[in-house]
Amino acid sequence: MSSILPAAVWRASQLGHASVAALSSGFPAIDVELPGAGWPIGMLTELIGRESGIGELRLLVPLLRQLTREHRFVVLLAPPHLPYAPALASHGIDLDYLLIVQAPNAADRLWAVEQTLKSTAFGALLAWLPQDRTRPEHLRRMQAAAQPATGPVFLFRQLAAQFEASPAPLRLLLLPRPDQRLSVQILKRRGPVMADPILIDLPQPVSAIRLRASPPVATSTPGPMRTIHARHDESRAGTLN
Amino acid sequence: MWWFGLFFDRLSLDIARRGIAAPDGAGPLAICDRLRILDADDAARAAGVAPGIKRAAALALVPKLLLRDYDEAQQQATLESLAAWALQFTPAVSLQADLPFGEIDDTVVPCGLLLEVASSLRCFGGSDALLGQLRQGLDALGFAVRVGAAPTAAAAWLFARHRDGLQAGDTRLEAALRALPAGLLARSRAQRETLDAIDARRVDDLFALPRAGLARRCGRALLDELDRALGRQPEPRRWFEAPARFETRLELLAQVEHADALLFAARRLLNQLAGWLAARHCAVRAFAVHAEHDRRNRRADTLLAVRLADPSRDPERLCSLLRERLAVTRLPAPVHALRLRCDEVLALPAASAQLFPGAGVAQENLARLIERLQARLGPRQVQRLSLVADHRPEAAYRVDAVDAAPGSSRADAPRPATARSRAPAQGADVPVANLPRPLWLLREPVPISERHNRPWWHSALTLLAGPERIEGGWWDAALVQRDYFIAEDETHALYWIYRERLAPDDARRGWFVHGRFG
Repeated sequence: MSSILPAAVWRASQLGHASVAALSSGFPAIDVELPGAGWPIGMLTELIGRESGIGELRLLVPLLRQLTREHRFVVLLAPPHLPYAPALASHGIDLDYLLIVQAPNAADRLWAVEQTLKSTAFGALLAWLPQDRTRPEHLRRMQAAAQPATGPVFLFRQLAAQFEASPAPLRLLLLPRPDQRLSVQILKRRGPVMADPILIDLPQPVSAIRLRASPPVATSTPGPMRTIHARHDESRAGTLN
Repeated sequence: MWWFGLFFDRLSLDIARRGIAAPDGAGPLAICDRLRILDADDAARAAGVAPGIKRAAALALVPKLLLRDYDEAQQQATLESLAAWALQFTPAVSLQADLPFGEIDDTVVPCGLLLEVASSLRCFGGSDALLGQLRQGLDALGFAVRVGAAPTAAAAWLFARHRDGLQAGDTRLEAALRALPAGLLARSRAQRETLDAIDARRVDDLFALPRAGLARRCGRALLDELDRALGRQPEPRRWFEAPARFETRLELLAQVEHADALLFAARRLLNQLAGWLAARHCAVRAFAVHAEHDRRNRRADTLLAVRLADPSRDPERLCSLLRERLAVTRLPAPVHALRLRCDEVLALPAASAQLFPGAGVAQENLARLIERLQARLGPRQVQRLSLVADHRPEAAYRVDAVDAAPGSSRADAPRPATARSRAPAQGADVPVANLPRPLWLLREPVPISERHNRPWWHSALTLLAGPERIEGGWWDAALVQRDYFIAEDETHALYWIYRERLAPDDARRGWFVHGRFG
């Protein structure tokens, strides 16, 4: 029965796999739930979070690492803080293929997003939109402009955006969780509604030591890489020097 | 030999009008000298302003007639710039002088071009295709032209003077010449009257007359001209040489204050520039358009400077960059003339066509994107990160504006020059960190308070790791003595915080947030 349906039509209970080009997110748990098994190419993906600094960039680290290794450019458009070069490098991202575009003015920022989308020359576009100036028609224009893009397009939006309608085919709500995990809830996708968030472990730089477990979660198992330094620190955690 | 004769029959009108888009500049316009109307556009002619009538009579007929004085020097300069533009089609371009206003004025001035194109035909796909490109290009520049084509220069010129699009090959040349009116050969009032007196209407009639007598009555020059047209006499011509610098000016018919209207005029200039560049096999890295304001306003020219990521001579691309530049420029006063100057002219090797679009295309697109962003946002707003070997967090990176690729070739334009940051990321160049570094660094460390002996920012922070002691900078002014921790707040967001050690004053003592784990 399902074979009769045209490729672009899917049942509400299935994932729409038809002709969605995608790049793997690097997290199997997320890939399984996304149409096309990864971040969709030529479509907007909204990442909604309370504020920057909850792991939203580390969620994309595997993708950025992959793209910059393939010598494709990643454009960061109007990031809220300074992307910290040593941290990016320690995650294995080649800084030569990272471009940062500053656009303090909200109108300029929307213009720059559209220009970048039109150029289709980027490996991935990460754009931080001004919450109060972004209207649905802007997003519709961006979604239309994103069609010929050769890489995934991520729009970072604030928490209030989750209640607004959006033409982005994929919308994710990100919430930080203890022990460097991130809860990813799929608000919208081409597929069935998903009630439960996915919990993923955020990537760590190879050279870094593991952190202590967060205090409220008492049962978490200690990491295998824990070093003497860390244990030493742990013993002093209560006194704080 | 195959010659194109290009007769700019409305050159003075076009010079005055071409800066303004047609619907806006539709007012009747005429060119005059001190006394008479020399030329008038269609709107003026329809109202009865015929070339030759008195200036005062024309103004009486059409009170709102726009009059422009005939400027021979400007006409000459324009024709030379057109010749420089035409050099892209053939290296053999020559200026041709004649009577631009027919019987009204008998001063012979340059008013056309002669192009010898036999050697270019194959490259441009034949005579008709080349002619099509020429017409299209001249239309984009804003000049009306009448073209004649013939195996000799003089014949091509006579054809162009007679009617647009007339051409004849070797076999039909004599017949076509014989059919022309004899008056075309006359260069003065006296010659015209003589030809009338002997009742020579067509060139054919002249052939019937004895040569010696004709030479005595009309002068040898007329017969020589005819001989050259038929190819019986050699015709040495002086070839035009392109000027080494490009600078051109376009006076606008009206005061312009809209960016769109300015862009229309600028596009004319950029097209002209593109032709000049193509003729020299060059491209520009930077150009500047000076918008001249009315002298009464006493304002300095507005300068619109544009830099390109890589050299180009594509007028569309230059124009789109100029548009972005115009969009963010405030004009203090209306503009009455534009001047285009280009500073950095580089030789541009011809790009070889590729069978398959490769990675080079994406790179080039990216260079285009960068230059477009820079044109609007400013050159410092497109940035690139690199590492610096320093222990201090705020000194361990560098933000550089992406230069529009100095000295780099087209293919790798956006590639950085530094070899240092090209090393694989986990390599020895990255300072080995005990604690993971945050992906976001705050531009300035934010001081936070302490409650119950715990750092507090919006909620109580729990230290997950640390301290990592970072000391350095005694060699320059920015001494850093800090203990860094990774802290988690109640919503489980992670922060990179530090406590100042041995702070010199109270303001710098205590806890600071320096980064967020994005």
